[in-house]
Amino acid sequence: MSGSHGLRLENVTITAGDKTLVDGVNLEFAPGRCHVILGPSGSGKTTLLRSINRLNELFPGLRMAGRVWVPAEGGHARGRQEDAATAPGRLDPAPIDAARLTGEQLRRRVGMVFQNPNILPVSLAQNFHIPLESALGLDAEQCRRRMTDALQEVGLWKEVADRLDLPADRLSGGQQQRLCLARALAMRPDVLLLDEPTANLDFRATAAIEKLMGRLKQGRVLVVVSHSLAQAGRIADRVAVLSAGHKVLDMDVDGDEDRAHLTRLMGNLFPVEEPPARDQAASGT
Amino acid sequence: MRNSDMRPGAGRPGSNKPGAHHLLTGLSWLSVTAVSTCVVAFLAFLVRGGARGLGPGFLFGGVAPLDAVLRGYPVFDGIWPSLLGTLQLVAGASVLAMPVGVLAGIHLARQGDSPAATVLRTAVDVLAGIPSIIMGLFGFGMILFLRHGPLPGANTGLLPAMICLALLVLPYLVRTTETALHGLPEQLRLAGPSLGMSEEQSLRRILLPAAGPGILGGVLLAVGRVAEDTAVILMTGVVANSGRAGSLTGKFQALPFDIYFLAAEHRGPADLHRAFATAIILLVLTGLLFLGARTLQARWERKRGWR
Repeated sequence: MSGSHGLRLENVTITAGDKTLVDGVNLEFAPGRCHVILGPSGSGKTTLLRSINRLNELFPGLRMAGRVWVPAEGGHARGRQEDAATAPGRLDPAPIDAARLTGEQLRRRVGMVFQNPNILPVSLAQNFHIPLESALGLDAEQCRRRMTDALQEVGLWKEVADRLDLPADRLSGGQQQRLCLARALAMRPDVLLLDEPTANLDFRATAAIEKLMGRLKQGRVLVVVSHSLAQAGRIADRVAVLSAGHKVLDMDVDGDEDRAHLTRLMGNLFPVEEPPARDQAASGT
Repeated sequence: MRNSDMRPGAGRPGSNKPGAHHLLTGLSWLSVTAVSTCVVAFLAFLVRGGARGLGPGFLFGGVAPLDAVLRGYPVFDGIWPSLLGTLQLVAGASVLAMPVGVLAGIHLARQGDSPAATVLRTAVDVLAGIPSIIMGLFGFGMILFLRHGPLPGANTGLLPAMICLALLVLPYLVRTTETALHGLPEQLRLAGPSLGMSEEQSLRRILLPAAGPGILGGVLLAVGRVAEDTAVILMTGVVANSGRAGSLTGKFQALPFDIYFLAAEHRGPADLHRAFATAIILLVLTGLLFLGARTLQARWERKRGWR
């Protein structure tokens, strides 16, 4: 794995008071692959994901130790050169320490999509214009071009092209989530973090998002948090498993044999207790 | 349980009590009817009392309306000076209180539970609990202090009244702004930062517009309070027959004081009818201010692409 070109977590520990939420996690994420972080509820998946873009800083009481290395600007971003204001055109492959960046600089490179679609309660077009104008200083034409590209990339353009000025909350849940994906992509991030992006979607919307994963990982680091082993089997190239804040598994998933092996390992790591047989339960009472 | 019975709790043991359900429904309807009846009865009482006071000369007396409004001719037997005085108080107190109140609310929302925020929150709560007559007394005391100290020319008038009214409504603005920002869902609060926007950009372009309706609620409450308060202006410069205030330091008339004065000093039914008619005008004025604020907000939201 070409870790030096990707995203790297070194001994990341996150605490809340005297409670350790994530404990000394080391992980590498390569561009062009879909990395899935699996684990049961409360295992620290989302907290770990938010340490990558330092979103944890917005939650008082959380403390982080360790280092995060992110791809250098332009290392994997596609098409940055078209926006001279934001693209120096530098192609430096060496990753840089995220601590050297401000929170805003880091989060412009590391996009994130949440479990619930967090659309802005404005028109569909304004969902793009507001962050692109504010964070990147783009003009209206550049914003429009990026919006069109991003909506086409997530396959939403044809569905919404004639209602860009309508409130975004009129879209269905699946469309809203794809809009959030497109909005994150419009920032041209080197890293894309998806925090259980299909957890609240129906099977059709889930399938639509999962179909996009192959395209989303092209030219960037893609990290997906999921609590579904079946979903990991469908989309992952590599899986890391967390349990109570510890990394307990980190393996490539390539083909049916690996998927079956992953399922067996997960069964061993998180055994499901069989419910007592009916006659045993009856005799116990 | 029937398949079609989708009421919450239907089918659970002990929940099948039609008597309790009917009692609850009956009490709900009774409450709704009582509140509606009170509102209708109150308005009917007001209109019945005030209709006879509303006449052609009620607003401007014997002066032509255009002369009074545009040329500033003095009006002595109409309520025009009081209407103007109330509008001046509302405008002045709002200009003074709104920036401070909204900024303090934003500060509190950002600070969370820090010690400084807790102190400020307590101060705001104490301010909210001060009766308006005491706020008026404070204003009067300040004027006396200034007159005997650094500002010998200090006197009661429009500006001191505006300042005291601004202090009176400040807590509404602070608390509603803070509550409106706190009430936004976490996912919306994370939207700006997760897209690389700074805290200031996120606040200005996402959070404040989203909290706008809540903040506007506080502004409307404040405007209503300024328009109707009598105790503060009683101590700080309102008079019965000054005409319209010539300057910020001049004496002024106001609708709530007119109502009080006409009712307390009435010498016959005509004065009482006039008091009721003035009350109708005050209610209409407050309603129009509310309507105007809502319309402005809707237009602004449409212009910005907000809902």
